[in-house]
Amino acid sequence: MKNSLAVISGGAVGASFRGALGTVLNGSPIATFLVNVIGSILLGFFYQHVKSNARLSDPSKKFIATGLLGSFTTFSTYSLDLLVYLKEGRFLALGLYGGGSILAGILSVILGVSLAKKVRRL
Amino acid sequence: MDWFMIAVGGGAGAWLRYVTALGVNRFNKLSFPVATLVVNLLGSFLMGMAYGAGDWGPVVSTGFLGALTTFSTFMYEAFELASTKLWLSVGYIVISIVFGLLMVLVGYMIIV
Repeated sequence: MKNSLAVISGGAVGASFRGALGTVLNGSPIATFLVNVIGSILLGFFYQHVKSNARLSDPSKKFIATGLLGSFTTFSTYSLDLLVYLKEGRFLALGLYGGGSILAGILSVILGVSLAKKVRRL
Repeated sequence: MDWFMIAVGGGAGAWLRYVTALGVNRFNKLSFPVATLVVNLLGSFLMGMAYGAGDWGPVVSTGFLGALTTFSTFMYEAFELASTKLWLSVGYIVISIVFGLLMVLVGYMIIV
């Protein structure tokens, strides 16, 4: 019950932040790219931090990881962006955005994980 | 009031993602992130329908479907898989993208 409430409230906040960024950037795929990259850095950081510092309660972890960061980033809009590029025949954009999001996403996780390790050593 | 609509849909989407993971992980004994794949493909299919229908508005499109699916968990799982089974990680990424695109297309074509 506590976990569900944590996920729901985290999800509400995360989705609102994504919506706000989307409004600022006029709902372009750049907004989706940005939320996905920022969210991946933060999730990498958070999971690494929790691994070496497990004092957080379970609902707090669910609030941040599953709720807030899970909902801040999105896969459905990413897929839709790919379909729109495909429909418009913009294959260069399709490849750059499709592959670039994955490459940047993985690098973001690695960046977040190594930042958390650095912070731990301070 | 858009942010409020997005928040309502976002809370519901995140919760459905969470309970789907609980349900799937009770049966999934594979070292493959089936739960995330399931919500991401389902969300992509519904997003295709929403796109075909014009727009389902901030509650459903941005809030619910955006939050039901996730990119950060997808990337973290791919990163973790890569350290033990690189080919499985590559497979996870390729399957997610190809079937995600296919699901959006199928959802779109059902409506249009």
